[in-house]
Amino acid sequence: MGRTTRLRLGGFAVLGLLLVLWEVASRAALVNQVYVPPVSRIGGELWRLLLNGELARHLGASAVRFGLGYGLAVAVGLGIGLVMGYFRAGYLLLEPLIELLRPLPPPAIIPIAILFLGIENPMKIFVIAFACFFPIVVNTIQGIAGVDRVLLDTARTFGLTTREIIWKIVLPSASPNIVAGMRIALAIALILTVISELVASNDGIGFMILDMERAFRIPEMYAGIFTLMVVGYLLNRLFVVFESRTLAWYFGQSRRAQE
Amino acid sequence: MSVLLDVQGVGKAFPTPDGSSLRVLDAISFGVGEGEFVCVVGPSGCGKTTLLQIIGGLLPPTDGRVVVGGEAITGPQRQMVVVFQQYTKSLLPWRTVEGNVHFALENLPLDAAERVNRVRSNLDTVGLAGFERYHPYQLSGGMQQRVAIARALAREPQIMLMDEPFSSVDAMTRQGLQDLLLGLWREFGKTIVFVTHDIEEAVYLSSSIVLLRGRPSHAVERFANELPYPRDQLATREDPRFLRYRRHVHELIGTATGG
Repeated sequence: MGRTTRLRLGGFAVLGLLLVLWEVASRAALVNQVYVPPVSRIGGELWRLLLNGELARHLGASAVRFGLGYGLAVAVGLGIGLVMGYFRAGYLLLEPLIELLRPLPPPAIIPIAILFLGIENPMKIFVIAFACFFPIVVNTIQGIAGVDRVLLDTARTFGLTTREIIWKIVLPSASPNIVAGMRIALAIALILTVISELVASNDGIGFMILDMERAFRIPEMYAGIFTLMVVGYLLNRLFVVFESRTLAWYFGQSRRAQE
Repeated sequence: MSVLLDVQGVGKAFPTPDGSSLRVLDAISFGVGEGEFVCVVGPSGCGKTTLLQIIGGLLPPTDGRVVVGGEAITGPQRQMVVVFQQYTKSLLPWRTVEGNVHFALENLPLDAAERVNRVRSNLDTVGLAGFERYHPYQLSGGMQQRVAIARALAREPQIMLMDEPFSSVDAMTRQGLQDLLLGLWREFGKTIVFVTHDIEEAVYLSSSIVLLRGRPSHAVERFANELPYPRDQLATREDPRFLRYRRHVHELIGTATGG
């Protein structure tokens, strides 16, 4: 077993040890057992919520918002990023607007969103998309700015149309930046999904956590939080797989450059 | 021998930051006959690349014009291709070797089988059979430039414009590429305009030499290179005529080192 593998296993051991400490501290009443129930009880509640379908219902509701909001942000962010990154006029016309909206902390638009879209899914999807839009647009612009002149000249000598240049040169060339923007947006989408559900909702994982806290069902509250951790972790792993597939050439090239 | 490509009084001036303009090329005229291998030689920074971009239709001249097959060009031409100096930047890093050659054929009216055929045969021609599935970063500089040459050949152009294509590879690889290019030229009867600051390279390759000098650069002389083909890296370079041409070019463009 190599040193790296040992240390990695050690990392899981640290995690396990903390959970054991938690369990012991709670059972021995070293901490307030009501606020910090034993891990085993939280696990039991998690299992129960999993079996009775309640967790699935909340997760499903969140997944719809998350997916639509994030998807919308990727589509619009890529489109606007392309217009701004490739066409100078597009950049000059849209830059002031984008730069003014960007510093706004996204939760601050929730009141306006409620005003226009109500408190149901359209509002939540809009808020998620709004927040995710900026990292994608900014990274797309940056990626396009870095497309090499020689590559564009090559495409021109082959007589490619603007449309072909965009699809075959500009977007693939900018893809490392675009994917980096999508990665940042992924974390933001999860944050805004939960926030939007905390503000106004009757389902979703964010709602469930708040609802359990209000009902003083503390183990269930923790169960919701643990679920979010696992969901976030899995989303990240999934994204890493997507990234290494789409950008295999880029990582190969970077490794080569470092040798 | 009929004139295929005619550079007629081409001049180029670029605007400078202080509002005036900087003239780089002035009244350059020379004709290139069908099947000729013309080397354009001038010191570094004399505007050779600019001239080649104008000939390739990538840059409009400030004055004069470029006539190909009897017509003044206004943009990149189907029958011309450009091989750039920076092969690392002109290949599509996300595509494989065969994907890069295929790229050059995608907007030509060919059926799929013919495209595949041309990819295969041209990679074979430059000695890259077996490397079809590699990505550019997995190849040496010399091999990458071979991919660029195969890609250019695949379009079956009448005229190949080459911008110091061998200047960023080591000396031994360069000689190999020079001989490869000469072989291709003799085999396929292409017309080649090859820009370089390397005087020996120009004398070794060309059937005719155009000399640029001065600021702005103008064509000071054009002469036929009588060295017999096929050429040989040792015998040709020891030929008294090779040494005479070399001295002549040195004296005319006023560089003693040629680097």
